[in-house]
Amino acid sequence: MKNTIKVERAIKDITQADLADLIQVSRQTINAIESNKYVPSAVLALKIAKVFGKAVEEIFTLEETD
Amino acid sequence: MKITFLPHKFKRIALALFLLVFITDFFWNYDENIAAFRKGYEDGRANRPFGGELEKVEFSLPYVDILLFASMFLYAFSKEKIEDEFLYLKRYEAFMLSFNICVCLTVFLFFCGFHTLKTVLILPVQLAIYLIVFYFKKREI
Repeated sequence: MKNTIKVERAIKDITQADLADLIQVSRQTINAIESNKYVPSAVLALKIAKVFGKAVEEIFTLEETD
Repeated sequence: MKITFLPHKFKRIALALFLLVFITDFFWNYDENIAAFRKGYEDGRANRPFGGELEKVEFSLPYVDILLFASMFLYAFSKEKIEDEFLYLKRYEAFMLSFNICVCLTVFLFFCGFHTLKTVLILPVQLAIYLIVFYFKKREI
């Protein structure tokens, strides 16, 4: 599953640490999600989408290999 | 399954307890430890069988094993500063890896002739391996 968190962060001009603070997770978690090393739970994905004011499917999209 | 961990401050308490017990234990019978080391060294130099004539000496403080295990246990089950689902996954991975390492180690030691492995020894070893693996897993991202 790929995501556009890095792009969305750049648009909102917030760092990984800022985003982590907003959704109360560690910066490592955001880094792992951004680099596609970890697929977040539905709750976490919804929280991330809420921060960026977008729908979950706009941030996270399935790949053919999923 | 939701697991409840101890508050983060228990990590510091556990670390302090571990260091206190470890250092106190080291100096408790410092002379005997050095004497035993020297005897082993001299035996080695003289090509005598290792520990053949070693007197039985109590090297440790009473209950030191229990205190060390308790401190490791406290450390392992205390929260990180920010505990989230990713860290849960890392904990699970570290636990599984430490369990597998421990199984391999036990089988290896069994075939090496250690037929009387005690649970009381396996448990702290697994906990120690878990702590080391978890430490590195947290830092791999």
